[in-house]
Amino acid sequence: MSIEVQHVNKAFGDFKALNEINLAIESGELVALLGPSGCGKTTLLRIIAGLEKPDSGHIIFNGDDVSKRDVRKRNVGFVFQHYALFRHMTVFDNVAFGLRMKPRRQRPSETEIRAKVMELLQMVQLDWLADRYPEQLSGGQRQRIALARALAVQPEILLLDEPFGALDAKVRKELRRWLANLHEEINLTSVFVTHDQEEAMEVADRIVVMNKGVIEQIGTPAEVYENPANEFVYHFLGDSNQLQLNDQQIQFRPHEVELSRQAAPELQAGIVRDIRPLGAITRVTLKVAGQEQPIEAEVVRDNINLIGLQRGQTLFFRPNAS
Amino acid sequence: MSTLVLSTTRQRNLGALTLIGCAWLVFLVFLVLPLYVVLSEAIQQGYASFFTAVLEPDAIAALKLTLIAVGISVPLNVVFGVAAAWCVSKYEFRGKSLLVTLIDLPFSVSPIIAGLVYILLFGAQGFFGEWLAEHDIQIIFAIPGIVLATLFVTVPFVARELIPLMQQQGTQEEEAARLLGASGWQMFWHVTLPNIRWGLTYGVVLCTARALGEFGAVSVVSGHIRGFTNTLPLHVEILYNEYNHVAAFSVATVLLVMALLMLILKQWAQERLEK
Amino acid sequence: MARSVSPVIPGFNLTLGYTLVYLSLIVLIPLAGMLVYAAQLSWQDFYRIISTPQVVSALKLSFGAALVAALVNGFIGTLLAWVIVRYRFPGRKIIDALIDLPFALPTAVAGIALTTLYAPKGLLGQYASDLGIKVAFTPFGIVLALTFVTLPFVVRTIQPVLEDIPRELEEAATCLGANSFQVLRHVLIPALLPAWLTGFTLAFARAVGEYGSVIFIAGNMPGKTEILPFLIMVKLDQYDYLGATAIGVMMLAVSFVFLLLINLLQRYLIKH
Repeated sequence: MSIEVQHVNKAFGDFKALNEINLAIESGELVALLGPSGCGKTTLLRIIAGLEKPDSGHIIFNGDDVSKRDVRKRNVGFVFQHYALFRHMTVFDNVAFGLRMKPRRQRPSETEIRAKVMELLQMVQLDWLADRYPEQLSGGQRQRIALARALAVQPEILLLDEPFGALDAKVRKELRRWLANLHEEINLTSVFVTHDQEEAMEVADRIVVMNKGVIEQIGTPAEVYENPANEFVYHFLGDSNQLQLNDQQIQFRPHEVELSRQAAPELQAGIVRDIRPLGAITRVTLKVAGQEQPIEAEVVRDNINLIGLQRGQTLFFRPNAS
Repeated sequence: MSTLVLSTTRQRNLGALTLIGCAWLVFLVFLVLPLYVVLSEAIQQGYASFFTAVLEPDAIAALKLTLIAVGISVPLNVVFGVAAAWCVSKYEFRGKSLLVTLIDLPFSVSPIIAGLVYILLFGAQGFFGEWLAEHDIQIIFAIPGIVLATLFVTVPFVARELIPLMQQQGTQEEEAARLLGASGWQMFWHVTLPNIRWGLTYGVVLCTARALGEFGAVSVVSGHIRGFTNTLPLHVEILYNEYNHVAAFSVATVLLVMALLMLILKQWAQERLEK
Repeated sequence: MARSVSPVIPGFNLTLGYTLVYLSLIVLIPLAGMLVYAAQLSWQDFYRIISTPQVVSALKLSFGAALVAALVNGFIGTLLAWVIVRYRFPGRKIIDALIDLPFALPTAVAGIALTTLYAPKGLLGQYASDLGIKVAFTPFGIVLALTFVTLPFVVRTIQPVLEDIPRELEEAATCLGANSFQVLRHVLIPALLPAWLTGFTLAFARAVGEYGSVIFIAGNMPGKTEILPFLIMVKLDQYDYLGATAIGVMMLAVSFVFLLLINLLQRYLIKH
């Protein structure tokens, strides 16, 4: 199901949370809303879900204007940042909730509900936890139960608010891949909110970069990283170096550097402050005369210039932004 | 006394022991002795006179009236408490803090004034006095007055317990329920109510305890008509003022047992609430 | 006018409407009615009623005894809360549970129990009279009864705050070289004071209006041990509605000023 956001504005008192938002998401896409906290991304997600009313503008699902449609009738799955599992219900009852709330005529029988819930729990690999209560689960387990609960009513749109925000680093990585696979398997349109650019780059088909209530850029991970529309996007999507060259200020990413042990006219000199092996790459921090900010260079770990390199030595470099 | 204290040094142990001793002393003299007095006075002439006093028709009538007042005022205040906590905790609106202050108002008004205000409205010389007399409706010195006075003093109890609890629980579970297709009532019955049940129980227990024991407000509007408009606490007063101490303390024992029962229920609800 | 936290949660108009109607019917309109009733009195009449020696002495007694009782509770309540929160000892749970007894026990029962206990021939009263102290039928007895009924307020307001003060805070202060007195003055008192004042205020407000537990032990001797609520009761028994109303309005006004002052003090303390 496609989603269209047209001319959406939203203010809380004097604070303008969203300013003229226009966005089109195609059916089956996995889109990330990326931006710093307070940029309006969660508000946008809640407006799409129907949890918040925009001051003006329209939300369109598959060509139907749903702006006035009640939250119950929009048929979206929503996963809250802190999951919002019903604390007094077992895992099973949590997942069954949406099915049991259906009007009597559409409601499946208890046997059908049982089968459907167990199927969902198997899908998230937690069928063995059916009788537990949410407080007895780990963060990652709660997250997957919240997802199973949202999927139980067979939504065509899945919305996730900071789905990995409350998890520790390792679980977060696992779940990211799992979510991306799941999205492939069950043909859904998914939108998730995150403030973590790495997460957005790894999971999303397209990234919507937001700042202060406006959309700065929309594009594939490669597009927004390689061709940032402006300063903000450039800085938000990755680390960057600033170098004062004559009268000019140059910006480049840490991996866009060429190193050399020999001086040359086109090369800058820097004193090695730190050498950090980070797995496949190694990061060298250089102090350049005449500027406070150090330069970080990331090169493959077997780069020839690293052999025998020590702190305090002088190294020569050149930004090679393509 | 084998006292386990967390402090380690001997000096601190001594300080702790002194404080614990003081607490025990306060507890015994201040809380336990009055209880002991009630019980010992009640049975000083044996159990027979205790049961005579408790089972006497006027005492039974007073018990019935007390239960009627509790039975009407507690459910009404529960509905009010849930509604008030709902609008205060789930929404933002202007004048909210004023509303919360007004809900608490009966706590800082003397029960005597609570009774007085109804006399001024419905008493013989009150605003509606003549009209009520013409239509032969009696509120003051009758059961409606007793119920109204009890309602006044117990208004805040349930709301006060629920407001902080519901504010702390937030609205996400309710939102999740709505997204999953629940109607407003379904959301309330299946999500909100189970989440607040122990806080609600706690509030109901406090409200019941106060309604059972209310004296001042009820005393003003009751007229003390034996066997008709006497509640249990008023019956205790009458017996006591007639120097019938055994009977007074016997009826007081009934109230004391109810109070202890409320304390046990309260403790039980509190433990569930903290879990 | 209303902005809901979340527009999908229904029931705002219903619950707010019900709350306002119910509160108005039970509390606000009757209270306003009392003020309207009082408006029949001219200022001179009003002043004449509330300035009789009987009323003035009752006014002093009611507010004075309430203040003393609240202060005593400020002390005893803090002690009890501290002991319950900080130490583990036999009987701790039962003390903790029975602290609420004065809330649950009907005030009339408390009144006759305390009177019997402290009467000149009572269980404790006999020792007091040996020492030449009269408890029952004196202002001392009134303070005692008020202290009993308001005992839970201070304990229950500072208990949660005390539980939340991490022990590490005191330990850190001790490690920095503070002695127990300094820890008390600079760490514990500032943290507890706002809650303590809240408990104090609640106890005070309740004590001013208290009736059931006091009238038995007070003896109600004119000009000596009559409290304001008792005077209202007396006026009502004489069908002197205007007199009762005048005293009631004055009582509310004085309470209001007191509570306002305490509130201002609390705000001042939070700021500094």
